[in-house]
Amino acid sequence: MGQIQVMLPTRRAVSGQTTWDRLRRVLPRVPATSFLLFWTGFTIFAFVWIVVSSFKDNRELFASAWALPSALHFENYEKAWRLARMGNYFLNSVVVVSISTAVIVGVSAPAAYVLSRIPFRGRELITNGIIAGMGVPYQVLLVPLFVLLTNLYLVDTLPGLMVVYIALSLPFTIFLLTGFFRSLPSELEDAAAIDGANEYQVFYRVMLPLASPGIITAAIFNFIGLWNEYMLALVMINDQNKRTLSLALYGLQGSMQYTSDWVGLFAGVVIVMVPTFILFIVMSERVIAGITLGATKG
Amino acid sequence: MRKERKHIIIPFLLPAGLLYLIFFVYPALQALVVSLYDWSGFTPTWTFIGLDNFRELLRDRVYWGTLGFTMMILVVGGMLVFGIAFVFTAILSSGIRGKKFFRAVLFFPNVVATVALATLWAFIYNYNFGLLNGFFKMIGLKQLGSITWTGPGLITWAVLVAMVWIYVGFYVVLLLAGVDKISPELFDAAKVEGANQLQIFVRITIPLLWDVLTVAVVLWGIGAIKQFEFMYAFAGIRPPRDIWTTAVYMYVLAFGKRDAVFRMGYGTAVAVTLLILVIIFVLIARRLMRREAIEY
Amino acid sequence: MKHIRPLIMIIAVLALVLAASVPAIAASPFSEEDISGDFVYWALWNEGEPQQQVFAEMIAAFQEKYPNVNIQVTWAGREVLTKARSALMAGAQLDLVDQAADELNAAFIKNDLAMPLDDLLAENALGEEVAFKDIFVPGVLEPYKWKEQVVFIPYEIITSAYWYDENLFKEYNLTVPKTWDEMMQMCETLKAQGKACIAQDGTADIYNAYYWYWLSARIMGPGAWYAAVSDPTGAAWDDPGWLEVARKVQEPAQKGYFMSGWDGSVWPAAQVAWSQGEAAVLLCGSWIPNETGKTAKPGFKYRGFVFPEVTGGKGKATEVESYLLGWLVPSSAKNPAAAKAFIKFAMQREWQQKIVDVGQNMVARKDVPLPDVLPDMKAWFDTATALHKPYDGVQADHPGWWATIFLPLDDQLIKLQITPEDFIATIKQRTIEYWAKPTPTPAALR
Repeated sequence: MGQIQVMLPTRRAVSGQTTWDRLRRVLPRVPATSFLLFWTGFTIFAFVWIVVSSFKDNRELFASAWALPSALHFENYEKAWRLARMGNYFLNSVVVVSISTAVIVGVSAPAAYVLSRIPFRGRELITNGIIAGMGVPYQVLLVPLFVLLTNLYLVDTLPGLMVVYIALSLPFTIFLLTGFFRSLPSELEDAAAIDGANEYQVFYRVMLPLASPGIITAAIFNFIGLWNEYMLALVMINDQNKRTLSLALYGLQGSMQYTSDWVGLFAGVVIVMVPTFILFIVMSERVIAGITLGATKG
Repeated sequence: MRKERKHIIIPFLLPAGLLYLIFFVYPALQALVVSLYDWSGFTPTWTFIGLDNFRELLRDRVYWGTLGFTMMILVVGGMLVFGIAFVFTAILSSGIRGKKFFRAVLFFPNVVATVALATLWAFIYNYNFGLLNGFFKMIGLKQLGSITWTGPGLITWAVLVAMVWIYVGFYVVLLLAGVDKISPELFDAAKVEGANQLQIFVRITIPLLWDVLTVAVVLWGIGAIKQFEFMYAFAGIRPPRDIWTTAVYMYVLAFGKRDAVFRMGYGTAVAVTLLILVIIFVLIARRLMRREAIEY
Repeated sequence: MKHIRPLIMIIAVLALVLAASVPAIAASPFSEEDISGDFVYWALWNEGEPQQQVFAEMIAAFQEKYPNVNIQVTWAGREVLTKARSALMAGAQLDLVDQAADELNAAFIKNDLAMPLDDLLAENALGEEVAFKDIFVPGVLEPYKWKEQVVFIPYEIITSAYWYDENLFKEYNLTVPKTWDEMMQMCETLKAQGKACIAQDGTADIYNAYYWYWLSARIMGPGAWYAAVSDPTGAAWDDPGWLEVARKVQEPAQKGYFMSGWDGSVWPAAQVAWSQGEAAVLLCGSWIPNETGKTAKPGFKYRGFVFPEVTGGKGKATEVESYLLGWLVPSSAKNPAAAKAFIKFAMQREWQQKIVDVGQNMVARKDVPLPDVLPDMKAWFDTATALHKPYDGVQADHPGWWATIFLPLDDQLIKLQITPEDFIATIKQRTIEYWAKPTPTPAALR
């Protein structure tokens, strides 16, 4: 029961009620809370299972998925690391994904601000034109993009890949940010304008900080999406030294599956997952900070 | 009043606009043109065939089958994702201890490479070695332990469950971010007046969440209609036919995997129908969910 | 260095004259200095696969022999043609590409994008006094000719057959079935002892299609299926033989000879289960020792037998499938000389032997023995009376029919979701529809 008690609202307003009232409030939530516990429990188990399985050997894995490894087969990691050269590709991924994310947010935020808060003719058309981009299955762009990049001498280069990532992420990011900008109160904006701030100052000093939760959310979604992207990288990048980490994992999946080395694949998955996991822990704290910031300012 | 406002339109729109026009709209228009041609994607010679690719689509049973599964993901998957996301958001926004932890765990599948998730679920459902059947056998439920989870009829549901598991966390985070922006005084006032959690959620949280919810629904629609990577990676050799989405079919037609179909023009026509579907969905969703913006 | 050029020219001219006068034993027109410049090779292997390692070694050795060439190799993986397509459209350099013959056929050969290689085949093999074309297993150079010229050079041969563990056959006292009825009999025996007979990854439609393909080859003879698909009137499907094929495709599922759970088995679950001894046989390509080596139970002894004959059928057990992996030089190649030199270099006995040893596959050189894990395969090719393309060439030449008409229906057939009669009627009707289209698919134009 202690578990359920802590789920009660902690605010003082609910104190001073009878035990019966309390139970009446809590009981309907028991199934829902159990469901949440089951769900998170399963999720944790699933990823722990991948990690545990990555230490097995292949025969053990197929003999019993539930059993623990008889010995820790670290050679799976050694093999995945060596074959997929993951160390080399980690840096590529960090560079490509960080710069792309920064540029995406940097060009999307002003555009979204203008599109959501300044009325002008053709605004709806432009907004819808950009948002329609979200519906384009990016596979159809592979060939035209490759030809375009070749003509610009950007093919098989990391900047070329970044340009593609940036352009293809714009619709989603602008869509997300117009929503956030639209929900901001206009009083502060007007007040700043009356105080004599020019429009650039209104944007950078007032609206941008207000929209920071949205911007951080957009940055994180883009970072994660691009971190795991492999299809565009597969087509745009040929040079072995310019691969990204997820492209390396995709290649590893290919070589492991055709040689039935499943534990090796799991080891590769863990290697790719660990940095994302750490980044995620760090960044999810930042989301919370950003949201709190937005809440106090609003 | 603020005449100067108009001056920033062009400098603010230009960088994003140029990038978008050159590296997105231009190749996308080229792709649209391709859908009117008979083209393998390998030769410089294209044959103009007008709308023949689209006419062929009308009779293509595989296409309609994949569209059926895509719609199932969109509608049934959507209901499950939002239903569960609401329940979790309600619990997590009610002052539960460990909120950050739960939110992080729920969201985690979204940061993991799709290849990894697909491999994981293939192992969960595996008939002979799978975690699910293994679990049921372990606790003595032989009957449940010998179900072919990926068999005909079940596989679509099996994959749907996996997708719901992946995406619920994403929408919980989105909805929670909206809930957290709602002023706590509103909740306190409602509680003082004796409203229960359900009433608070329906009467206060959801209305104030409307903008975020609109974004979430549109995002889900777009993501669901273009669903590709999980199915594509579900079985390494090629995705089982029952779980082909239209996007997978498009890829098979245009790029092949084990079949050298190589029909770039026809595949692009399939993709164009997806684009149309997304536009229709977004328009409908926005129309249905339109209302006065509430500022808070 | 400049004064060397005319000398090379003279030598080259002399070589050409020689080549024209004695084509059978011509010397290579290329000297080592001639092979220079950038040479771009995109390979189907993934980094880390055993065969990739052989190829990487081979490329290093080639570089050493031809120091003036600058090799740029990309381990593109199985999706190499997706990349190649973009590169070709952009006019990027690509001198050599390898993949399965059927895929190269659809992508390059039929689009007239492959360079003829007859001149290369007429030369001597590298370091040998024998014509290059004579070192190949008979019958592997001809199937993918374009305009009477060889454009595809195979280096690896795969064939599909039933595979089994010799120990398991001994344990259950089984003998290799010679006919389909014997095969069904064998399954009945196993079933009576509670043992699964056939492993099958039932969600992989191309693996399900093996049954239709082989039964049609044995009952109707190789080429009959191809002919039926190519007939725009659909009349070919009226032959009662097709109904027999469809009925036999249903036999294993009807009689419960497939391993339980097969219809939902996601690759590679069934082949892993088979390699652990949970089913007796598996119908699949000769890559299987490679794919299951790490999961096979200790002591597993790979053996195989060709798809059994059907009593009264037109096909024979000596008609063997040859599924080829090999190279193609795109007609737009900027350095074909290097590409051709590499092909000859890679076909040397030493490297072919390495592919056998490390990759455990049969190679296209006839004087290199097969790997130990494929002890039966040599005999099939030695006694073969005819070789045919995988899936009777239907997948290669009519990919649209194959992917959108046949595979979905065949899945229903093997899973008993459609009667054989309905299957044939539907196939016939849709074949007519397929050919009645306003524009035939480009791949169907011949």
